Amino acid sequence: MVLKKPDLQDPEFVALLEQDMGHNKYGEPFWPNDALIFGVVIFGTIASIIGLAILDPAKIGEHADPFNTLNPILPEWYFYPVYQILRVVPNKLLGVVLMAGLPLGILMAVPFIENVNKFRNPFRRPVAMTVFLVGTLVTLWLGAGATVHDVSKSLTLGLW
Amino acid sequence: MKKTFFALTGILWLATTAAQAFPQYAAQYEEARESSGRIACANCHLGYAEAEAEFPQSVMPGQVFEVEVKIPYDIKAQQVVGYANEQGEYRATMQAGAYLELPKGFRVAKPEELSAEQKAKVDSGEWAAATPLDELAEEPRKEIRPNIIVVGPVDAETVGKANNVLVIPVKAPDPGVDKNIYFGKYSVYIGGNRGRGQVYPDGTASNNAQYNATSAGTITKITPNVPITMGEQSYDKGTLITLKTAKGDLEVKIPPGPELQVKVGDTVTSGQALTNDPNVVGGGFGQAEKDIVLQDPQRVVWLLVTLAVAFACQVLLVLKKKQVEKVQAYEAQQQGLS
Repeated sequence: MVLKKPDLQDPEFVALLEQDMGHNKYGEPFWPNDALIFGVVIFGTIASIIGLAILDPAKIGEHADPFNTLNPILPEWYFYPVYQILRVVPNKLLGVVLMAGLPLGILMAVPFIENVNKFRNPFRRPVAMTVFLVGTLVTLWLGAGATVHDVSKSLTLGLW
Repeated sequence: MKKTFFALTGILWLATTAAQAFPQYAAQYEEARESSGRIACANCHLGYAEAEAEFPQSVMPGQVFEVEVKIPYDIKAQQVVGYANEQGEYRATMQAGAYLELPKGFRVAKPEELSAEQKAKVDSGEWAAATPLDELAEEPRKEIRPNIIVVGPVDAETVGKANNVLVIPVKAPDPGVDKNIYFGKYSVYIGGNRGRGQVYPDGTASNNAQYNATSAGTITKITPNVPITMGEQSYDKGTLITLKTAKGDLEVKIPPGPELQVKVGDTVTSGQALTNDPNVVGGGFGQAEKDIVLQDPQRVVWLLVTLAVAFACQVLLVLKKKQVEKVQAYEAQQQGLS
């Protein structure tokens, strides 16, 4: 594979590099090398989607009945963690506030807390990294808990 | 005709089998599966228990396949039943039953559609007979929906032999023949009963339930071995508990089966348990929902063609890239870059 070397004699290029830009000026060229691999990926994606659409088609469910509540009540899967927050908080208004407040409040605070940190590398941003990892685990835990029908058991996922 | 059939089978059950589980009771409902998704069996079986089903992810038109309904329970467990056995005990092993709601057009396979192996299992009784629910309704239904099926009650011995699985041979419809059927993905709703319910469909409690004081008061008398009638059920050896309440004397009927936990002179509060809960042996009802794909064989063929073409294109693109790289290497060599 032919890789174009960075021309460090070019002052304009060096100025770009110093601003963390200009990385498209060296290495493997986009045309035609990368464009050909794009084609491979596009065909692979289309083939996968067609395969799924035929072998595991989307289901048309039965008619909804607005006068009948589903049992057990469960939202779409991506709402599970938020639904679980609403469910376990004893006060409804507080639950509604926390539903939006917890994710938004914590996530919005992170850049301000980490503002003193001059590094952009996530591995050098401990606060953001910790919030991300803990947040992910808590979200998964809450989401799994939403599927446990008994609220008091849902926090331990019914395991003990 | 139907009533005599019922009476006959009822007698047969009483005579040959011990306990009862009645998926047939669901026939008393016009729609046994409510729009909330709840299957009517849960109205009587107040205990919750697991039930799951296994069948192919997709089936071809006209294909005969097996639906396995798994009903896990201890087949040796003894439950309270509605009649006494030879020893005068109201106890017997639990039976199992299954409720299966297939997509429109699916039905139980006829004997001539089964393979020799499957037919042998149906004939020997290893696979219990599956009946459309509408056929079991007391008043004949206008329309018999062959896709809503019940199996059972199956006695514990047969269930145990099959490792707690009830198998139903099902035939998929052919959209080419029936214009109302379409290829696609549909829901299958499964229910699994085991043991007796706690409530009869008419609302009266069965004797497999816990009995509570209907009012606060003091127990002044307990009369055992009296015939009692509860709803349509009558028992020879029931117990009458006389409660002295603020509004006068009150009689609580306790059928045979649940064990008394109170004695004369006890003061009870309203709703306090007078008996134990006999349904601790794991009886109950569970339901599940699973998808099945009615697959067009032609679509699969053309999918394979599409995949082959896509793969060929990918290979050609990679080959082209290799060729381009060779040209680039040659040009770099010419310019003295490498």
